[in-house]
Amino acid sequence: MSLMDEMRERAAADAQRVAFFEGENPTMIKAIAELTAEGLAVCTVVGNAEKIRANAEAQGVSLGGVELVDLADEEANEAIARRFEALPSCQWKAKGVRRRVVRPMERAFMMEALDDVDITFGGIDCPTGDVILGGQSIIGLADGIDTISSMGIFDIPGYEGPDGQLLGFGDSAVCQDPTPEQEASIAIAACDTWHALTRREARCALLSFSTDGSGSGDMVLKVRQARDIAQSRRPDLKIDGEFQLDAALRPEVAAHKVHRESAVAGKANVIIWPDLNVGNVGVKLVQMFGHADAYGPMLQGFRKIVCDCSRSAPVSEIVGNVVMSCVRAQALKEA
Amino acid sequence: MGNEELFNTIAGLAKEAYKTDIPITPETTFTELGKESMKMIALTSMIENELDAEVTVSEIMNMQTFGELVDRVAEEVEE
Repeated sequence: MSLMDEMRERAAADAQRVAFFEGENPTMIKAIAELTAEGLAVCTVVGNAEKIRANAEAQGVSLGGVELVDLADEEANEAIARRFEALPSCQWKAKGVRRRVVRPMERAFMMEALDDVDITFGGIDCPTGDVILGGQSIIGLADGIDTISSMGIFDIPGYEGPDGQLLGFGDSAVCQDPTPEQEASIAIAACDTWHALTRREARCALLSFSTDGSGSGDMVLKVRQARDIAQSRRPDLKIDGEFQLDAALRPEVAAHKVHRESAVAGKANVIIWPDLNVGNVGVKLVQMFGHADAYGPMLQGFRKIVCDCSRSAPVSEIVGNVVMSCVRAQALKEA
Repeated sequence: MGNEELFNTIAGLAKEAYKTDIPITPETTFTELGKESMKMIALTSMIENELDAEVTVSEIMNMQTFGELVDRVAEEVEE
């Protein structure tokens, strides 16, 4: 069974509540209908109910089982605003809360902050940056995390790693030039995301052009500092570095280059790029020459699950992203 | 609210949001203050709460100096 098939089973076994805020988008409404029909998620769509219904009708899909939150319902808006402004995490006064409660994306985040839903999903009509800032403002960062980032999972044909063909990676999408604290945050969040999705323990390698001091300079120092911060913040996780890619993944290279005990060297199943230049190029290299499929990238680092998709995402990709988000939300509740 | 009063108010909020005591002038850059998004979110929330002026984090991310932010808030306050 593929990882995605396994995750679909897990998502359906305990359907999570997902808020969408782009119900007027044709692709998104089809994905919402499919998720609902297949019992993969309990979907709520926030927006102009009349226009959302018209969109569904135009696309020939049923909204049976889908809850619509109509932003024209002033009584419901006020009720949410009152509950939200009572949260300790609320940053705005009454006027600011009421300004936001009628905006689809921010209303969806408010519902998530209030535990009315487990996940907020969007991004087909709005930039990732807006989703990230909205999520940071209303959901906030997870404890011990300094930045939002992303992680993904490669499925690489012919790769025989410690977890078969699977290899986790982060961050290839969000944090351009992470500070040591931010790189530590990326590694910590990636370990948690990997565990939530695969149910396997993460062994996370912080990558560099240097292995254990074989090189020197600020770039190496940054990775070593990130390792120390990550280990200090989350001693329960297996995070180590700095390692070259081969020292991280190949036991025989690790045996040659890493002259100390390491729970990660030579057996990493999650790799952390040192910056976004490397991450972007690295992902494309693996996809182009390793013919890999990649799950994600998924946003991580929020206090709860926030997920976005690319603006060109087809229905199947959105459904897959929501399924992964649901599995992560389940794991978050179990933690 | 006069320009000087507005500047002082926003500078005070920025010092609180960024948890800094550095002197802030119109020429102070956001690189000097720090570009961490959570601090920018805190600053925009404070400005909105105190001055009823909504300036987005995305806008601030495209600004070079603190003076640009004060000018932008002044536009909102005048409306």
